[in-house]
Amino acid sequence: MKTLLFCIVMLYVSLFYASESHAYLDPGSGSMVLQLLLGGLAGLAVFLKLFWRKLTGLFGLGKGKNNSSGRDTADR
Amino acid sequence: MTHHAIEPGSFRDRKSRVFYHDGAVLRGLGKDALEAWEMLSSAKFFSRYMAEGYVIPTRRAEDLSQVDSAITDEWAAVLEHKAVPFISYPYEWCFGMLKDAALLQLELLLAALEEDMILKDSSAFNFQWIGTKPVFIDIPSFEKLNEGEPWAGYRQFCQMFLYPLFLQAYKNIPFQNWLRGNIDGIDPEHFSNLMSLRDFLRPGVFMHVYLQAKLQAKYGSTQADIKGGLRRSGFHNAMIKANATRLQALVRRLNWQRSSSEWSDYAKTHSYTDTDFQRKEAFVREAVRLQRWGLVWDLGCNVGAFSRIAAENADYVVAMDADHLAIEHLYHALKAEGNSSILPLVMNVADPSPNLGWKGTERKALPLRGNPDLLLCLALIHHIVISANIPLGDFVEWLSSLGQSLIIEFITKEDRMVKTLLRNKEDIYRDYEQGYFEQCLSRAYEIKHRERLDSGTRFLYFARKRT
Repeated sequence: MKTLLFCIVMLYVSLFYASESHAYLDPGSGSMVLQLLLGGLAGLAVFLKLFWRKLTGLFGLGKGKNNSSGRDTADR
Repeated sequence: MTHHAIEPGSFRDRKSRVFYHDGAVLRGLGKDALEAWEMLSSAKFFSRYMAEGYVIPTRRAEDLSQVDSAITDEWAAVLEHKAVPFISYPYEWCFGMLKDAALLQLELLLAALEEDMILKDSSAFNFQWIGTKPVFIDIPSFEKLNEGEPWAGYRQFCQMFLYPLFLQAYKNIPFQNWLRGNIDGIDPEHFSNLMSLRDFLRPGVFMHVYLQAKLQAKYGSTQADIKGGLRRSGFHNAMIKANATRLQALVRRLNWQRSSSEWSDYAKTHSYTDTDFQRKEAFVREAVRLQRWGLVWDLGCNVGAFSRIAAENADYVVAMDADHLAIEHLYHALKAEGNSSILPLVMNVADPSPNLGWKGTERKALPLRGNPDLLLCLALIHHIVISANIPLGDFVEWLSSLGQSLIIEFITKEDRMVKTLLRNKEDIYRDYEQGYFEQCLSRAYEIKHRERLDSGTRFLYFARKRT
């Protein structure tokens, strides 16, 4: 379970490792998203729901091409 | 004419303001803050923690007739808080103190969640101490829980509590200077940069440090409504509880690894003969018994032996030392005894806490925090003059600006302890000489008692400030 979580998260995070830090604009949002991963199984479920399209897009699965990697809006 | 003073550091919370009136600590509440207070004051957990002394006793102020109407007109309600005997800040606490404050923060958060409330922020400055008991003081931080919202204080908890504790527990680096340098705490990205590959395997580092740093960078410039998105997706306060519970377990397991042999040397390093030590204790005790003291500061308290003697006849003793290992041990010993009249703090007398924050008013310099009736300055002055290179006359003058009475020890250059300090150094300390010392002392003080210990190199003085 922990390994699965680890892999999912590493995949997601490594996608965006090159992001520059813009923390001075809004340092709080990242921590809010992180709380999903820290929120037990229920939180993980919501995290997957929100970011499923992003993750599947990595493998070319899912409905269409992923948008440009700069887009970081959480999917509805 | 009534006298009130607004606390200049109390501006961050736009909905309430602290002010002082005739020694009492009052807080004006805006309309929103009043609603939250009404919910809080009827919550069971609040009365329980107040009764146990972990939340500062607070109630609605009854008699406002003496308070300036300019104040009372501005606010919807006024609360009255019990005053804390001596204000201190996280960069003056030892590891154990920061850890216990962190655990109390999480405990209060979880207790509030059970009753539909939340602690909206996690600033370490929301805590003070009464003896060795942490006390939560920022009452307006308790707010009604808005379902679906993440815990806004999580990042602050990491920056002000978790990372400093990790710094000491995992890297054996003291956190006090970093917290003094940045009152918002340690930034996730900076702390992440410190982590080695080995550190990533340590409990809590991957999730709370690495991921937080990465996500902070990733979402730093986001235009998206993350909060709304989370709520719509079903964020639930059970997730906050899960996180806080695991943080509790994590913090409980954090320990400052230090070699026990280091500590066992403390008892030996005072290098006094038994008779000399007993004589010194007796001298201090005789002086302490001369009158009841309100506030005592023990500068360079080391293991706290003389702080304890002072506490026998004083309301409150602040025991300070630059050695945070000594303070850590003193804290644990006092905590085990349930001591409520001695506050141990990490403080370098040669570089004491300065004014910090906005306009230098948010956090106060040491001399502004109290007027000690009695100062203890034992086995310290040689460190100040010779190691820290501060002129002896200056130091004595500084002491006289702080308090009324003084118990001070002078150790001559013939002494082994001082010889150790001077080894491999050019002796430029002409002012470090007993005659000159007594001269400086006599400028501001009247020397009442003077005693020479058997060793012949150590002298004790009790002096009172000249009126």
